[in-house]
Amino acid sequence: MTPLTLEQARAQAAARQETTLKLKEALIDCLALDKEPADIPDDCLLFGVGLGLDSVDALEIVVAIESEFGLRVEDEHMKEIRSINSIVDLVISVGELQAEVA
Amino acid sequence: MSVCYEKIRNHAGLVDLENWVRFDVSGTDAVDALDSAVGCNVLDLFEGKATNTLIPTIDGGVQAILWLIATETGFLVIAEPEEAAPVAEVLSELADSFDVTVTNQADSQFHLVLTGPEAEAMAEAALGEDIPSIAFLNAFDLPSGVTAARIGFFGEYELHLFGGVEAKADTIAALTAEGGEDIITDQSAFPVMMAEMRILNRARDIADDASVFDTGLQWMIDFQKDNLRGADALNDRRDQDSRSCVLMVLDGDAATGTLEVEGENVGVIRSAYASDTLGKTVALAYIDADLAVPGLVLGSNLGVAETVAAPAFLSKSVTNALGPAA
Repeated sequence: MTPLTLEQARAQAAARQETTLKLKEALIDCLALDKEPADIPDDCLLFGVGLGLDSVDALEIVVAIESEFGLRVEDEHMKEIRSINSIVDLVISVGELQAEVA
Repeated sequence: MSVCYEKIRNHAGLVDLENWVRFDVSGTDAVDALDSAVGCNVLDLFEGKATNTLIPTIDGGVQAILWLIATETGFLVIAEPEEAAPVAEVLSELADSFDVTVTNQADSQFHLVLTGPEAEAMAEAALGEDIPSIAFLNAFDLPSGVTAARIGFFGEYELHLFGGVEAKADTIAALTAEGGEDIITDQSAFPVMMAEMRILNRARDIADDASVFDTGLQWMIDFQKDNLRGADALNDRRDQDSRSCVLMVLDGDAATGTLEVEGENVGVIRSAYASDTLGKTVALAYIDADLAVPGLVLGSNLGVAETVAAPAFLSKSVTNALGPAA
C-alpha cells in the first residue's frame, strides 16, 4: 500500500475523527450515557469490559447508526459492533457500498 | 514463534503467575476505601464480579492498572508484577485512613492462568461443569475452594485461578492430567500478546507524563464519582491536544523511538514486538492527536507504519466463539 503524505494523512484523519465524534454523540444520546465524547476512547470495547453495554444496548446502537448516518445495518454487520473504531469502519464501508448501489 | 506464544495463541497454556500482585482488602470500609482510590465505581461491584480499572495520579496520569474481584469477604486486587510498589503504597495509605485490613497474599495464595482457544474445554474437563457458566468479568468458587475468575489480558479465553498455596499442586495436577505436562509454559510472550490486543502495561507502555486520556484508558474511570482521585486534573487534561496511544503495524524490525514522517516528528514508538500472527512488528505508539486514527499508512523513519484499530486481529478464542461467520 502506498504511504500517504502527511497532508493526506491529516485530512483522512480529520474526516474520520468527524465521523467518530458524530457516532459518540449519537451513542451518548441514544444510550443516555453520562459521559462526554472524550471519555470514550476510540478503541474502547462496547460490551463487557469497556463501556459495559449489553445485548439490549446493541439494538439501540443499530437504531442510532441507522438514523444518524442514514444507513441500513444488516444482520451480517452485527459482529462489527464491537468498538467505536469498528463501528466507524462499518459506517464508512457500508456508506461507500450503499452510495455505489444508489 | 516462541513456545509460550504458540501454546497460548493456538492451543492452551498454563502459566504460574506467582510473581503477580495480589492483595486482599476487607473490613467494614473496604468499599469506600477502594472507591476513593480507583477510577471505577466500586459500589457497583458485587460479590462474584470483576472489573479492570486504574488508580489515577493526582495530576491525571496513571499510577497503577489493576483488576478488582469482589469476594464474599471483600476484594481481591490483582495486578502485573510491575505494579507491586504503587499498589502497595496506595493500599497502605488506605489502611491508615479507613477501617480496612489489607493483606498481601503473595506468599499465601497461588495464582495460575489457563488460557488459549482450547483452555475452556480443558478447564471444564479438569475442574468441573461449572466452568462454562463463568462469564467474562465473573468469578466463582469451585468445590475445591479454588476461586476461578474470568479476567483478560491476551484476547483469549482466560481462566485465572486463585487459592491457598496448599491447593496449588493439586490444581496443576488436575489441569495437566487433562492437557498434558506440555500445557505448562512461561510469561515470555505476554508483552507481545498484550500489545496485539492493545492491553497496556503501565511500566512498559505508558510514559510518566502521559495523561489517562493519552493512554485511552479513560473507560476505566467513572467521571461522575464525587470522590474521584485527581478529578480536577483529569477534567483539565480531558481536551488537551496532545498525543494519543495507537496500535501500529510496521514492516520494519521491532524498534522503539521517535517516529518521523517526511522528517517531521509525529510521535514515539513506546513498545514494539515481532508478532508471529501478523508476520510484522506490532507497536504501541503515542502519536499526534491529529493522526491518531486507524487506517493511516505512513512512510516513516522506521519503515512503512500503519495505524490499526484494536485488537490487531481477532484471536482464535474469539472467532471460535463468534462461529463460522466470523
